[in-house]
Amino acid sequence: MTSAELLAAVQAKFPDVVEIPKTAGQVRGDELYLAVAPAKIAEVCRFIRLDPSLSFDFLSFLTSIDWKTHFEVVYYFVSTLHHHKLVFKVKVDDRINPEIPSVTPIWPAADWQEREVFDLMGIRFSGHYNMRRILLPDDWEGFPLRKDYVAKPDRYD
Amino acid sequence: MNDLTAPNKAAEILPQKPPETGMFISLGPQHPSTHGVLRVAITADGEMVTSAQPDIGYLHRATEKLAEKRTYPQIIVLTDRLDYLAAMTNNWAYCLAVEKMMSTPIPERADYLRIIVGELQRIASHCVFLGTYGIDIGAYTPFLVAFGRERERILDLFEEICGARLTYNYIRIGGVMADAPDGWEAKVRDFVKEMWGHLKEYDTLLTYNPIFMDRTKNIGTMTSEMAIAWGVTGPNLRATGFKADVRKDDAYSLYPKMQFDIPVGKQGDCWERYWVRVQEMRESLKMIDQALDQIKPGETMAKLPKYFRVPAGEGYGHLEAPRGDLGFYIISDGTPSPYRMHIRPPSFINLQALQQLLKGWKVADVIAILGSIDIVLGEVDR
Repeated sequence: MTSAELLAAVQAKFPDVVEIPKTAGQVRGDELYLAVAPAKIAEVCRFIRLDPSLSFDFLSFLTSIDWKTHFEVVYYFVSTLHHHKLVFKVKVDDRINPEIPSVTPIWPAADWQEREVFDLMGIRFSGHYNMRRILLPDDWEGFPLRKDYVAKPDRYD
Repeated sequence: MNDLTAPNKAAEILPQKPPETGMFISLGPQHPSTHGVLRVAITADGEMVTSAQPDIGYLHRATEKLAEKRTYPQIIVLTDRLDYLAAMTNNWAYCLAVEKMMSTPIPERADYLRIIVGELQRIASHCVFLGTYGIDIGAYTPFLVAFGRERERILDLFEEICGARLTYNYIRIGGVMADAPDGWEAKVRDFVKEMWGHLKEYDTLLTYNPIFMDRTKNIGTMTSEMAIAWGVTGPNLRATGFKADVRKDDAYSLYPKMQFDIPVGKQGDCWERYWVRVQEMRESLKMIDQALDQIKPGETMAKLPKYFRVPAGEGYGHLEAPRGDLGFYIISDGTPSPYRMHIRPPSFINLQALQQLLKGWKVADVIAILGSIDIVLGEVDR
């Protein structure tokens, strides 16, 4: 499917999903970028996974960005059947207690990647069966990838 | 692949809480077969593994955070230290992402040199797999042969072209660091010729060795559906019989000009994961030969200003690294260093499938299965 067809297919079911256009001077791939509301993400993901014409069965990666005023979670999907790609961006406004639904029940590939986002950025994924730190020690304080993180000097500094 | 019941199955295959009864085995973090510092918490009922939980993070160096403080060319040295057995492809993947964001055209000679060193790196990396996997199973000779002889030859070639044997920093944004020295191409050709013979040797030493086959055939099978659901890529995915290769599906560089096959397995057991890698070495040799035929003298670096800025925006570049689909997702805000850099590490994502893969197999098979996934802990922990 082309980007326009993908957009039409998703918007037919979820009208409030909007395309993120390229900004001026920006070079980015030919992928379609869509903005999805945090409350809807699990539902939209289930749809794009199950719909036969979309069938995004491969979650390539999942990551997060700290924009200082809000967080953004990025999902990159590939369909191994139709060879088309799709990027979802979910804006998380709550900086004190950020939480969005987990997609691990749909793609097990999200399992460790969601834990990594929680570990380094501090965004919780509700419904994840094992939401705890993965790379850092369990008693680590703070979330290092946040822009306001202050590293504590240790004996090597 | 369009099995619509798969998501429900996915929910079922997710690991549950470890059972209260049975034996608890802590494999690692210091164990010769974990290839670094990896701990796997295993519970077993008699000889049967009932749950396996890899415990990672011992080698975490916060590469993504460090990248936010460095300029774009300075990050290349960080990528060397991710998958330290395939530093060339790491450099390349990062440069692909940055070049995509800047839309820099690459000189043709630089692209061919990248393919030659990239494919040599794949062979070197698979040689390490061959050697260490042999040791895991109990065969010592392949280690001396593949790791100690052929890989050394490749490292000598790399040393000649860029001065380093492990962390190369050879592929740069806009091209490569330096042109190949005189006579280097002839040496690569000699090596390729020699390597075809060595591959036959591996087949007699390990591939069709009855003891090795007994330990690995029909062990640790993985279906294509399972591999795709867990995000597994690279030789592990191809061993399940699924034809997927970034070099063909999302072709980059000059790979569309290259003639090569994608070797695939049938049932995704340990032996096929091994066999696919040996076949891939053959395909790599074919590609190096073609690149050497087509390469012409010329520029090796695009004309870039000494201090350049990447236009604000985002970009994702990925390629087929020896361990799978390696990608860099970069967000730029127009300053000299990236606002955010995310790495899609194939080893990390392949390793999480171990939670399901080990379940139901014998404790004696754990090492065979773990070894066949071929992880590098530097990339898992980043």
